[in-house]
Amino acid sequence: MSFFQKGLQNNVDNDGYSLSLAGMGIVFFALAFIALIIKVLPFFLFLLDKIVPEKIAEPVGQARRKSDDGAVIAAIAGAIYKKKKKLG
Amino acid sequence: MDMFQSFMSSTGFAQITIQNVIMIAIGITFITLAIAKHYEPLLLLPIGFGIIIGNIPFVANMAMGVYDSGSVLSFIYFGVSKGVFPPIIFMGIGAMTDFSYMLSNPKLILLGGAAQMGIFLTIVGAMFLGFTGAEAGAIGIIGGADGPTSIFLSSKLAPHLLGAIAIAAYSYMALVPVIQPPIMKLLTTKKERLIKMAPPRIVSKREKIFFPIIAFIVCALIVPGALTLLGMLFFGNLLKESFVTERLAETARTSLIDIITILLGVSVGASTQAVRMVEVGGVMVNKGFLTPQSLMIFGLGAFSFCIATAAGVLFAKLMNLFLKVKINPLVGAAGVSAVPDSARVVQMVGQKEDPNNHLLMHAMAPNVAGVIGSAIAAGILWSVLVP
Repeated sequence: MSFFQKGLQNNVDNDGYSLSLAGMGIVFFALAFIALIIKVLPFFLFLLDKIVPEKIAEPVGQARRKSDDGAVIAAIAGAIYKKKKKLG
Repeated sequence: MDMFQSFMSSTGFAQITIQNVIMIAIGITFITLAIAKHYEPLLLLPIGFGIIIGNIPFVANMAMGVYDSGSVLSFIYFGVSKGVFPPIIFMGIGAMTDFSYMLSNPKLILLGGAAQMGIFLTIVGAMFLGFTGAEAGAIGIIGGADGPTSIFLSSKLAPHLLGAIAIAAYSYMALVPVIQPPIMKLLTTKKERLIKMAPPRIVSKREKIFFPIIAFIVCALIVPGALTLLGMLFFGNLLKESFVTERLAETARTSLIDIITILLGVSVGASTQAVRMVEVGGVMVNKGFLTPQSLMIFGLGAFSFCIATAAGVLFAKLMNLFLKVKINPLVGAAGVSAVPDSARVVQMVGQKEDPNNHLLMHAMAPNVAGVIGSAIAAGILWSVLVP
């Protein structure tokens, strides 16, 4: 048996052709299904928005920073005031 | 005097072989490419140094290599050989990926599917060259252009080929800017390369939060074999998009992924011992890196990468036959999942034709779809070919 024939036979023995075709088909199907879901997702969210309107969520880190801003500024200002008073 | 002679015979100089020297030269080449050419430096530098580590000969009973049980390197390599590191890297990728370009133009997802043709045609090619089904599956996944997926699948299907497959996958990922442009230009006309695409729509916060949950459930139900990789990818993305776990997302996309990349790179590199004689059925067989099999894996990897790029571009052209609003076929090349390098290549090739044509954001859609597609392909192959 020549090298070429051996290679073809190895593919037949290991289901190489059917694995490739079926594998490619499943990958395509799964991605096409995801694409379809993404396509219909805005309509579903539009309906959901009517029941539970979307709140604009802010990152937790930023929210904390905003609430802390006043206290931090007051503390810094206080420290500078004390230092200046000490120096006369 | 005997002690001195014994020490002299234990040095690397006394034991080094020409094969070790070749591998050390390859390691130095990787380091040079990383530093001088900036080709995937975060990966090529650790891998290159790992190759040098793995090819310094040592006394056999000292248990220092990745394959010696109880050695420090073997503990690090455990994360590679058992497929622990790739899912953690996927979580980091998820935490840094913005799916909004894909969500704004879902038809581009199909390009990520078309590029997976490289994987499946390479499997046929590998079987043609005499590899077993499991080995062919592990080699074919190189065409997914996804290093962690390649390592994950080869650790499950063909652990003895892991070193060669990992090195081939990362080498070709680093060479994306060299391999892809000629194929993209060959398969497209100037007119096609000049096509401008409409800017993507704004995606709502809720869409971004719902997507990783729904997509994971769907993919895992279709291909349970992809559960680990896709679970971590979408979990990482949810950490990012939910906005309530910013600290966790930050750790996943920075410190954690960096630590794992270092450990993975060095240990994969160190696993490429030039010659490693293993007893198989009473016969000593070379399971080292320098074998004709490794050369074939590199050849098949290159073939796989070229096919994946060509399939993405050609499928985009096919889609254009049916679309009213045309897509630039160059973005099809980003279907290979080397994120974000292949998307950058699309941008670069597009801008060479027209400096005002910005394709990067459009190319990110097939690019991240390619990541999902290659993980699904890996799941299929794992389910079907597991020995």
